[in-house]
Amino acid sequence: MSQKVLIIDDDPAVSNFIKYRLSKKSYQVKHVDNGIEGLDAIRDFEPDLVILDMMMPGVDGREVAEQVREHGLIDPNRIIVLSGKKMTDEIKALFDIGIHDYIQKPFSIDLLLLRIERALASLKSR
Amino acid sequence: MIDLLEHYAVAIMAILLGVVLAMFLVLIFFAILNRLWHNRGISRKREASESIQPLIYSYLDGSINRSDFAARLKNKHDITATWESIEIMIDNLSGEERKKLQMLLDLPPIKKHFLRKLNSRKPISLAQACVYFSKKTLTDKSIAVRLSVLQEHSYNVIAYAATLALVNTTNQGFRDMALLRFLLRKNNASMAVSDIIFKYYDISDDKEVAAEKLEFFVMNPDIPDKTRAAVIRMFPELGFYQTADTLRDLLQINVKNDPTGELTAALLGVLIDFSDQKLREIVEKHRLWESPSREVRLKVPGVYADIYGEETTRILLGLAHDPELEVRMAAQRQLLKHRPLISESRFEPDISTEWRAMKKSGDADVSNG
Repeated sequence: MSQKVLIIDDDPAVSNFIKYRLSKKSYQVKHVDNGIEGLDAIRDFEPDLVILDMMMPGVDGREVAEQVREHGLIDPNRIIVLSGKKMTDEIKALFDIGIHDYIQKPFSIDLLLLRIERALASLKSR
Repeated sequence: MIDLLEHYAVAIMAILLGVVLAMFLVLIFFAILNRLWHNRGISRKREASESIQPLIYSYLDGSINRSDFAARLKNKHDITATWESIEIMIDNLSGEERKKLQMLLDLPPIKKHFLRKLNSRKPISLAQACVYFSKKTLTDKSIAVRLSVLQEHSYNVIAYAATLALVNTTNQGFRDMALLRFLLRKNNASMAVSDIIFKYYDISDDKEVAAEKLEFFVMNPDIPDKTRAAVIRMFPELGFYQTADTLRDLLQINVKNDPTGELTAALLGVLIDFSDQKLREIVEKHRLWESPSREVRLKVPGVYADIYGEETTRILLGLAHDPELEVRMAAQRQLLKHRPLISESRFEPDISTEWRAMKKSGDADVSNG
């Protein structure tokens, strides 16, 4: 069965592109564009990996990660965060929550796909 | 006679009512037509967006080439949809994808569309055109001249976008002129200044020369203090540690003649970031803890983060009585760090009381935090 990736990002052009590239690699991909729907999708879709954008209106990426840990929705180690800003304190806080990885925008799509594949492989081998 | 007048009055009223009714019907007709036209535009835009986005993805992964993509651009909705997708993607993607997206922006129909906007009188069209030219590498001198004119536009957003576009040129002379023209403007937003400085530096081939230029610009007294402060605040982010001597000189020159304290506060903040060893001398020479500017007083405790001693304690305790809460808190935070080295009995009774109260609330802060 193909592995499931959930993208939580309010920017459709980029997240659709990530979805397009992941779908070509036979991943089962779902995209939602805000934090609240993201939390619902984590419960319902039960993703193997979450690609989470940091800057979103309303519930932002950090709040989503905190909620995931607080309510034990999935292991926070299944989250890769995307962010457009160098926010050292925010990134430290996210690693304290237990996220798997952090990728800064602008990013190379090939590098992102590689990090996703590696993350999924390492999570599977646990 | 009266009957005849009544007859005319009724006829005139009927005609007037008829005219009003006709006008009303015509207005309703145009309102409906306008709504239909608007809805049609929205649906065509959505259709264009839905069909263009997958094409961009196919182009990026090499399934189709640039000419195939160009052949699919049928109308202005397709061009707008292409631009709207690329505008966001280009900021988020790096490497090969970004280069390929920039090549799409150079397609003749897209370029023509924005050239028309660049000569429009509508501020929204001008802003869009400037943003377009800031995303692609600018090589055309005639466009650069037009953008230079737009740098003087009364709308700050247009001046900002035109500067971003000009900073994106390959000609270093043009870039420097454009940056200086922008910095000399009054009322620039600090965020706009940071964006432009970052782009200017980021795409400079010779980073050393770019750093020297920025160092030179912040010494220019013709540039408003607020703008100079915004440029200076970018220095730690750009790693300009070599500028510490220049910034210290500027602080010395400026400190007595800075009515708002904005430039002094920015210089203090950056020199604290750079861990400048000579900063304390200037602070004490000019007794900056007594500055009328709240922003300047707020920075002073940071200067003493790693300096212990009687004088430090005296200054920090003085700031701990500051009328501004944030200044008191900043001083209190430093005092808590210095706490093991301070003897309470050496202070005046009122200071000692304040100090104990601060220690108590500081302890509560620490244990709550």
